[in-house]
Amino acid sequence: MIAANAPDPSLRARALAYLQGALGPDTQLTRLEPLGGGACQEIWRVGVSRPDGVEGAFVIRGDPAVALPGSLGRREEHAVINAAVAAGAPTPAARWLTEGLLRPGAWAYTMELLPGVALGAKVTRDPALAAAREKAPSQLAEALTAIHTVTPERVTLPLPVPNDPVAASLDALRETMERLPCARPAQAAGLAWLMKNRPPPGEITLVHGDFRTGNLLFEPEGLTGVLDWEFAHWGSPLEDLGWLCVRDWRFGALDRAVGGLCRRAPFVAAYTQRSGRAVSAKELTFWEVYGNLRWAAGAILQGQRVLSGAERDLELLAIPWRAAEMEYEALRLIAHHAQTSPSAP
Amino acid sequence: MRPPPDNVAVLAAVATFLAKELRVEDPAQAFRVKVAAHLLGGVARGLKVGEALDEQAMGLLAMLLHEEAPEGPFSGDERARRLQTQSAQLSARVLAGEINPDDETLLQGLRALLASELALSNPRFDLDDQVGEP
Repeated sequence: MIAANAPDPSLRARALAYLQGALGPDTQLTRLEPLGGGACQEIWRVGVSRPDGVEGAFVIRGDPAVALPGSLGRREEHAVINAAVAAGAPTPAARWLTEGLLRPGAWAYTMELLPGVALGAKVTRDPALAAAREKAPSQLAEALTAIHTVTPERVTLPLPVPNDPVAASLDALRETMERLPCARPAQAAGLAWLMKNRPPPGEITLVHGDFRTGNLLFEPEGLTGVLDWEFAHWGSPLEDLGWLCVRDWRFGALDRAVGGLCRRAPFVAAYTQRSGRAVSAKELTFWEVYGNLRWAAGAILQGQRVLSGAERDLELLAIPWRAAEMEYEALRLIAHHAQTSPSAP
Repeated sequence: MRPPPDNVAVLAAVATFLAKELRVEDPAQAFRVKVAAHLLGGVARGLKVGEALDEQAMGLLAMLLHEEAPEGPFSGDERARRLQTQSAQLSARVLAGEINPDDETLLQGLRALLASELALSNPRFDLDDQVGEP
């Protein structure tokens, strides 16, 4: 471990006391180091051992010093994750919510460290994961179906419930676009098309908000975990389906529209079979156009974090140039929809 | 005048060095080196053909705004300012409903605009791929 990454001794002491409180007074801390993420995330990898020989690997997630707009704090995320776990979503439970562990006033919780690979390039192309990709349509559908059984009628969560989930998503997209440092006519055209082609409000469920390749853990046997719940919200369940099909999440596996893992048809069929929700091509196109525009705008803002001096990460600086790819895809989806739907305006 | 190499040649050579020759063991650092090469490649292409693509974009935006194409040549700053103004005007008109978002001319013009951006940022982007359906 390099010195710059070493936790300060008082954090080590606080983490030990926290874990002893959770796991027992004879618990020892064998590892405490930051796990990727950079300045905007507070993620620590933790190893513990106990005299009875039990060892454990955990991740502590804490509130970042500067949160991304629209992202949940750890306290809200803790509630969301545990509601999803209770509904059967394949995600590790969020445990031992606490305040002030990493920084005064900042909330944190602990999750089990799951085995598996999330890296997009590997997940979409590694021959060792071919069997996992075969199972993707049914396993992705199953995970999303479980998440989408969480509804405001059944579960109380610290999240605002919109009157009209479609309108709320369009408002959020427009607000993001208004923060851009440059005018993007293709995004404006896409937003205008979405407003003109919006589906009826429909039902409201828990939406993961970032359900995509890169946030899904796979082992050769299949999907093992759904990560990164910070963009969860009450909304239209189909928003998650469209987001999973956003072009960037194919990681070059362009003929597998669903996250570079599988084609649309078997995935949508599996989702409909499990959830009982019919998903029309028109609705999926709507949410795919929405997702591509959301990421196009978001990608431009990622670069702003570097240009504003808030972060120093070359990778973030390269992301805004990708916006044109998602905008092009959104326009292509709109044209494709017009060609394949003779009754469309 | 400074003898060759010019700026484009230097950037292209450094980008090639970073992408193809430099060997970095740490995977995270190796990935950053690739990102750096990618960024420099984009800068080199911008220096080489950015001006011509800007002129083309100004013409396309003028066409979509039903205006006369601006007569250059303009400095780089002036081109950026004009492109931003034209883009903001077109965005506002589309969002105000003055231009139909299904309009074929609009959609084709916007795709041409994005294609010229992609020629700089990602020349390998497949413009003809069909929304992920083979």
